[in-house]
Amino acid sequence: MITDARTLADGATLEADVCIAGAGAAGMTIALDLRASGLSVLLLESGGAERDPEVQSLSEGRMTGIDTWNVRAMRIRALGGTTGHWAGWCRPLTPQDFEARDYISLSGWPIKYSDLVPFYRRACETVQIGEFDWNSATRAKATGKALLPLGAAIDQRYYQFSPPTRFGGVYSDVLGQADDVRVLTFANVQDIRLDQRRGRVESFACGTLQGTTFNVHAGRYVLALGGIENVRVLLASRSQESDGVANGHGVVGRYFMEHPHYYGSVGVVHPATVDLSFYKRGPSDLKRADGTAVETLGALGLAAEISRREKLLNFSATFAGPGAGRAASGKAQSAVLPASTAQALVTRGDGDFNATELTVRSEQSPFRESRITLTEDLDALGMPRVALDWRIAPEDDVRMRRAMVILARELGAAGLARTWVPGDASRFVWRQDPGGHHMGATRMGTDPAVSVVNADSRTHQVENLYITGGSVFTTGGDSNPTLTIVALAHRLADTLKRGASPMKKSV
Amino acid sequence: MNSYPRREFLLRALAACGTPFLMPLASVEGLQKPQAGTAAAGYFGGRTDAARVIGEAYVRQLGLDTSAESIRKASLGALEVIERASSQQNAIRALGLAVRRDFQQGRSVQLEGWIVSRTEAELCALTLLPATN
Repeated sequence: MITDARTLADGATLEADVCIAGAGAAGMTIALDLRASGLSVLLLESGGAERDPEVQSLSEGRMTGIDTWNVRAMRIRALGGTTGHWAGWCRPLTPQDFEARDYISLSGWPIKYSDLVPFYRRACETVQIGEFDWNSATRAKATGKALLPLGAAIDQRYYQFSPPTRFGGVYSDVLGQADDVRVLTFANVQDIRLDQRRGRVESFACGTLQGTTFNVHAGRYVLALGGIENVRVLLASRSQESDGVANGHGVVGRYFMEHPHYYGSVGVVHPATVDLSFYKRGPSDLKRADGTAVETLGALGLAAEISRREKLLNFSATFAGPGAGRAASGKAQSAVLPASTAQALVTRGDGDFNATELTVRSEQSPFRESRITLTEDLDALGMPRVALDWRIAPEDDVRMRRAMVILARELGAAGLARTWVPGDASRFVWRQDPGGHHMGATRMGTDPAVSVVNADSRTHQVENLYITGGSVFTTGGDSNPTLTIVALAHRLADTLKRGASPMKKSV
Repeated sequence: MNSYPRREFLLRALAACGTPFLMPLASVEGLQKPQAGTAAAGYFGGRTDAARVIGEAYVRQLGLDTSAESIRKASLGALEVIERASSQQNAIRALGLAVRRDFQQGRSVQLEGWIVSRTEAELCALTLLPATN
């Protein structure tokens, strides 16, 4: 059933076994999995079926760190959440991303890659891509394309593309027809109320933009509001805790991570005979459940051993055609490369060459000063707006430069290309762009002093409060986060089912 | 009469006869011991204008000037390859291998933004030498 919260009686009380705040990719995935589980589910969504400017204005905020996209524009408050403008890029994190790396402070998830693989498999179906198979050699062979003949230092990777799945369009009706799931639209969580001991959530105090207020009582509560809004609701819940809920160690909002994107910064010049077809987006042999072909796009990263040995961050580089994508925006620095130099270095005087650009998507290391805080500005519901101070640790720039040099050497050693990186060794002049990927600000870990949720996605301090989405990422790898967000949501759904004692509350 | 055509004629004739101890079809230029400047220019297919820019950046990065002595000092690796070669063709072939080996073994430098091999950088520097060097 889907109900408009604006039609509820003011002061109403709703009950459920599980209350999920946020009907985006994560929240909807959990609700879908909890169907027919014996648990009653209440799924709260701030918006409706379509985007509404008044609702969207609740996401307004300030940027105070690296110039990034507008906070309001990055997130969508509607059924399906930000999948409404998702571009569909899918790739899992790598096993290395889950490991503790002594050169990256606070790296190391409390779960392993292998723990997540079964849920990644389910996530592939949920986001409508092909099977969970990420072997580039297999894929290249099956699609009749060639991998670049690069050495073992290079990890050949690829992305699969979701149609993209607009969760609102694809799954709203399914949830609306579920007997044990109630979807409540235009419903906003305004305060998390704790019991006297402050160890359990007693209720969510909710409201609508039209002034209706209501309370939700549930056995367990899940915040699935997105990487910024999860933080905002926790910090803004100050009716009993002055620093907000689950924030006894002041970690909520800290360690915010993005995927720094370097568009058009790195130039690659190669003889025209080099075959890059695997590295261009196109149909593959992989099939969706409906039999349609999944598009793939090849990419280059560094092998885990090299990355570890050289103490580097993970990254993936894709080839962009000249003038493609961001290059057209005037940000591409490599567009000014002198053709004569390319001719001298690459074809040595003779023969055709192509100049292309790499788009590099990178991991950033957890950085305490990169954070989300509340401001004095209030939204239409009276909730404080956020300030997003995205920062990157200075050593990350050095690591990325080193990574690009190693990639350039490998391309040179294979006789494939020469690479141009802006600036010299002492002058790093890359420009970072965000990916719109909000991670880490309620991070997963074992130590409550530097994390907010445990390996089960449950907050360290509030026993029946769970958080999911990009905000629980311990480190972000370089892969687009949606597939991992959905995998984590499947995993949390199983956790909620396991040992569940239904309260038999009606929805 | 210039001696080159006669010598070339002789070489081609011998090669055509299958003479095993002579290099087949070698050009006159190719048979001469290579000069550093011309070998470097040859390596870049004559695109010396572009290579010189990188070469200047390389000697500058080393804190040297562009005197012939400094350039030679900056380019010892490439010079060794060139001097070991019996002809310009062989030198260019050996330099190509040295460049690949540099990249494999992590010997690269960044000049004007380009990540080039050490040998490549040295060759760029050698294009600054007058052709007779």
